[in-house]
Amino acid sequence: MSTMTDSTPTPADRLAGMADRHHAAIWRYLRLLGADAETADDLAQDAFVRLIRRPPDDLDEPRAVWAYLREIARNLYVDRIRWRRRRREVESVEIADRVWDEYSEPDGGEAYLRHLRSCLGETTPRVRRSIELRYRDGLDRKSLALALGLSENGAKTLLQRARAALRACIERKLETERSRTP
Amino acid sequence: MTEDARAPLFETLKERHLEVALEEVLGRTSPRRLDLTARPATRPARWLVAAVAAASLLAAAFALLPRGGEEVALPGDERATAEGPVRAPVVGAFRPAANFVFAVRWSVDPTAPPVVVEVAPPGYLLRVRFSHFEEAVPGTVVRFELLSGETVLARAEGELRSLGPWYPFEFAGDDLLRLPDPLAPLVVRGEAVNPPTSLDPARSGSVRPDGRIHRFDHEVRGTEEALEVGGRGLARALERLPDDLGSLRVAHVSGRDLVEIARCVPALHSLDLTHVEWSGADDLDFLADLPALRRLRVLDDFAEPVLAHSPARLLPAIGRLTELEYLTLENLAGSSAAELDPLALMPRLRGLRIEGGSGDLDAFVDRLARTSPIETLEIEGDYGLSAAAVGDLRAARGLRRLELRHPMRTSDEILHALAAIEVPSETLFLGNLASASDEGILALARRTDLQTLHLHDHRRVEPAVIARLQEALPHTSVLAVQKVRRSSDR
Repeated sequence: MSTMTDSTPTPADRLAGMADRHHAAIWRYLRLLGADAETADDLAQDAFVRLIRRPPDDLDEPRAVWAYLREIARNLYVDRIRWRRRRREVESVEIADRVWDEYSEPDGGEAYLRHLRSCLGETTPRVRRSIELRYRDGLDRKSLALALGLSENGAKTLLQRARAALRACIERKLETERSRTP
Repeated sequence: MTEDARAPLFETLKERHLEVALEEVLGRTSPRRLDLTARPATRPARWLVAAVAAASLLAAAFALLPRGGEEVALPGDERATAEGPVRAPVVGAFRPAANFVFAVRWSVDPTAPPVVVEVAPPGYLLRVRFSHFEEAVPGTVVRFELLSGETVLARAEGELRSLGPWYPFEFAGDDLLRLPDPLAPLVVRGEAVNPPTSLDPARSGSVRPDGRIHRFDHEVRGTEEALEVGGRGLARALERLPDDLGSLRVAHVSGRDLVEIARCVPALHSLDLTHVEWSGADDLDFLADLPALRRLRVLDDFAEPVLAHSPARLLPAIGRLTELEYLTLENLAGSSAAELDPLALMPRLRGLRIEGGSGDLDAFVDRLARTSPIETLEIEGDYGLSAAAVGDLRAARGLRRLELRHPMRTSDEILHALAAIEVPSETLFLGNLASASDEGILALARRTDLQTLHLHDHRRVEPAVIARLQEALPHTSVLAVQKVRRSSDR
């Protein structure tokens, strides 16, 4: 039988648990801000290391920890793009924050991803294929056009329409879900 | 920034949110597993708070070049101040390989330490990270050694993938590095494993006036390589380019220096000239010595005060390029349509974009349609184009894409003329339909050949008319974009 002391999570265990809980969300948040996948990996790593070094006062308040972590990640990203003097991107961070709040709070984007999967299932085979070629296989517009038998502009248009339809579908589902939440 | 001004950015970021989510859902990207080796459970707590940045750097002593490479001047031998339990003096050193210019700018931004040294318990080193390889060539494999005095503490090797201010390299590991002498300078020494003797054709970048490669951005258009040179000392920069270079961008040079291009990179098939300080009517004569040239773009400064000569005296040199297939002339402000005449007779011209000039284009368009194999024609500017001239485009049997952009107003008459063109096309872009009526728009229903029809600023047209047009063209993507009218527009 374990003692009370044995079962109490150590600060390190609690921090590790937070990493499990928030890692994907912070990575998605950094991607939204404009980081590529590799950069988001690096910054997420740095954000957690900072969190560990300087943990917030109240580790038991998940929302506070999340807000703190998000702030760290945001600052890391802004620092990075400031170095590159990408002023416009710095300006866009504020707006990205609002988009994140609209789409991905309070669950770190899980509902958005769930609805996206559902909406993808509602698309026509041709739209689904175009989306997969672009976002799974990484085809550029020219290759995509070849694969779909379209002109480059045709492929661009198809993707634009597909994204617009997906966004509308996701937003509808998010709205419905939120209206049901007390 | 006002909310109105932010609206497009909102849309862009919502698109990005979706695209990032798509990549994740479809398995293209996902977060890399965190490596929390620094968590308190596995490290002594005291060094968790002892991490330190070497703030204002630094330094650089750099080793002698082995075989005649170019030394790059770095800041003086400064010592970083580290905070925490260990004050570790840091010296950066860099060693470029032979025939390879590899500059390391240690301290571009004084607020951003380019080398971060994290120290653990006294006498130990956790991590050294590097930044600001702003003058490197992506694709170059670089090997670094971290030394304390003469002792090699660690080695690292990797490929430069992108240039950025973050830390593309670091010495770090699960184990702490023990410093034989905590107060001895740390030296970072690096060399390129594969010093390029010529530039990778899959890359793009630019060469500074002093001949040093300073920025690569991986911009590849199609299968072409695009290199950029600019500034004074063009000839010296050109000398460093491979003589079989295919595509080149040139910016901020004097017109009289352009002649060096044909001498140094005679195989060019694509040339982009931006912000040239034109000096004489013969500035573009060198183009005749580029037999492979197929694409040319000239941007800006036709109307700059430094231009002592009218564009009319420059454009004939372009008109004489009998093999040129694609031509873009932008910012033609101050030039008249008549001055474009030499371009109408180019026998292989398949794509033409003219922007920024003014005047009556009728005669030019008529000649162009009859004499050139034009496939793409984009006109943007304060030009006049009559319905009759638009009708003349039926002579351009190969025309696939036609763009008529703002501020050239497209009237109902022109719409009828466009509707009557029987040449099978793919794209029609009409950028200013402010004066078009429902009837004019519906005339386009005859263009069943189109794959895409862009209609912009059709403020007098009822939405239902656009819907009717789309119904009439079931195989065409009708993209109608209405300009948002502000109160001041009303």
